[in-house]
Amino acid sequence: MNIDYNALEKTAFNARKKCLSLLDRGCFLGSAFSCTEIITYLYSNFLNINKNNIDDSNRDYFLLSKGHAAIMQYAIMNELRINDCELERDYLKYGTNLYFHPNVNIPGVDFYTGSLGHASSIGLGIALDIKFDNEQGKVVVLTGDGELNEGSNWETLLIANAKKVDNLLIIVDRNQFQANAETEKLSVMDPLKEKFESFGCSVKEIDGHDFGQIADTLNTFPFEKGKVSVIIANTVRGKSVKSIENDWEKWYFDSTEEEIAEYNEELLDYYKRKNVL
Amino acid sequence: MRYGDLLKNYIDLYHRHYIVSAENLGPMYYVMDDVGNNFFDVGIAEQGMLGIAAGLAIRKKVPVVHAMSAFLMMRAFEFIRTDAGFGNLAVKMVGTSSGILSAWNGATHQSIEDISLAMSIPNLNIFCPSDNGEMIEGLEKILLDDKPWYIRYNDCVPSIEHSRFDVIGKGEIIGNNSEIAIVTYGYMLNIVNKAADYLKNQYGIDVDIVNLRTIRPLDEEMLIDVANNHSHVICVEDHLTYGGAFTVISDFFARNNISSRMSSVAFRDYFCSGQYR
Repeated sequence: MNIDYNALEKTAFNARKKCLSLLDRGCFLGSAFSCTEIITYLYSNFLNINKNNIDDSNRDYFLLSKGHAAIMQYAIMNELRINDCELERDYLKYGTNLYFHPNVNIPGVDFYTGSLGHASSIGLGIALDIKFDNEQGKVVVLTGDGELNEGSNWETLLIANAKKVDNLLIIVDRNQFQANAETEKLSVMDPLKEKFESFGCSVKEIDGHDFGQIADTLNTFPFEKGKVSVIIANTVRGKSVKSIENDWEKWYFDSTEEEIAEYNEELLDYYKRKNVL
Repeated sequence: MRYGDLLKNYIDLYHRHYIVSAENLGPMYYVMDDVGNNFFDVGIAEQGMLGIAAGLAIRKKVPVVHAMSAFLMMRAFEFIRTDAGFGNLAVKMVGTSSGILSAWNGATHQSIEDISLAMSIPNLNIFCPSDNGEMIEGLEKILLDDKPWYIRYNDCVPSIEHSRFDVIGKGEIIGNNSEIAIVTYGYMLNIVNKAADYLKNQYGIDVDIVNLRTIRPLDEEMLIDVANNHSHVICVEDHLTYGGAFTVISDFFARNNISSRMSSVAFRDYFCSGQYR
C-alpha cells in the first residue's frame, strides 16, 4: 500500500491547529494531542469510514473510549471531509452537538462515549454481531491508559477471549497520565503488555506518534487468529507543543489569545523541524 | 407458552434477537442448544453484558439480557443508564428474582430498589408482569419495540382471571367499583388477590385490584379513574416506598392536582430480612 506520509503529517498538523484555535473555549488538549497521529491514520488509511458510507452498517466502527479527546476526532473527521460539522461556529455553543464528548448526532460518530471503561465492551458487542452476520467490518476502540483502571475493560477481555474474537482492535493511548496524575504513580499499570497477553490478547507496542510504525502495525491486523489485537501506543500528553508536554496541569484547560499564539508558534516549530511545512 | 419458547420463536421469525446471560440460565436453558450463536453467556459479568448488548443494539439487533435483578440494575446501573438509556437502544433487560423473590438469600440478592433505579433513567420503560401469561403477552410486543425495557421476570401461574394485555401502557382494574382500590404490579398481584379474598371473607370488605403492568409508561388515564372512583387508594409493592409505584403515582397525582387518599404498603428505610417470606 502506498502511504502518503506527508499528507498524514499535514492532516495531523491542521487538526492540531484547529484544536488550538478553539482553546479559548477550553478542551482536553493534552489528551487530544497524544492521540492525534493514531486517529489521523485510522481515518485516513485504516478504517472503512467515509462520507458516502456513514449510514451503512456494513462498514468499520470506531469508538473513542477516551471520549474527552472528541475535539481531535471532530477536527480530523472535518479535515478529511468525513463530515461537515462546523467546529469554529458550533463548538460548545448552546444547542449544538459539539461538546466535550462524542455525540452520535455528529455524522460518523458511532456512539456516545467518554464514560470510561464502556467502549471496549460496546466494541465487543459490535464485533460479535459483525461476525454473526458474516461481514468483514473491523472495530477499533481507542482507550486511554488511565482508563484501564476501570475493571470493566478486563471483564470485557475475559469475554472476548472466551468468544475468540479477532475483529476487534484496542489501541491504548499510553501517554502515562490520567486526569491529574501520572498513571504509574497512582495505580501501576505496568507491565501492561503482559497484562493484556495474560488475558489472551495479541499485543504490539509502538511509538504512537510515528506514522510509519502505526502503518506497519495496523497492516498486520488481526495480529493472531482468534485473539483480540491490542496496540500499546506510547505517546506524550500534549505532543507537539513543547511547553505543555507532560505537564500534569495541561489536561483540561483554556487559554488566552496570547497563550494560544505562543502555542501556535511552538506547533509550527515542531512541524518545521519535522520538515512537514 | 414458556418464556424460552417465545425467545426461540422470535429468533427464528425475525433474525434480530440475541439471548444473553450473565450466568443466569434459569428462564431459557432449554432452548440454548436450539438457538446456536444467537445465545451466549458472558459469565458473571453484568457490566460487560450490558456493554456488549449496547454494541449489538447499535447494529440494530435486539439483545435480551438476563441477570438477577439485584446485579442487573445495581452492578450494571451506569451501563444501563448511559448505554441503553442515553443511547436509547433496544436492549431488553430481564431481571430475575426481583423484589424479595430471593428472600432467603438475604438483602445482598434482594431487589427492592430496581423500579426506583429504572425510573431514574429517561427512555427506559418498565414491565412488571403479574404471571407467565401476561409476561408472554407483553413480551410479544416489547421484543419488537425499539426502546430499552427493564422487565421483572415472573413466570408464576395466574392467581386471578384477568384481561388480555393487548396494548402497551394499559393497566387493568379487576373488581366491581368498590370504595377501596389496591394498586399493585408483578408478583404482588398474587399476594394482593389473597389479601382481597381475606378482606372479603373475614370482614366483608370489597376491594378493587389495579394491575399496573407497566410503571413506565404509566396508565395515567386508568389512574385518574382510580382516583375519581375510589375513596382510598392503597399501593402495595415488593419494593422500597421511595421511587416505586407509590412515588410514581403520587407524583402523577400531585402534578395534575388530583387529590386522593393514598397509602403505601412497601418496605420503608430498611433492608429485608433473609427470613422474610
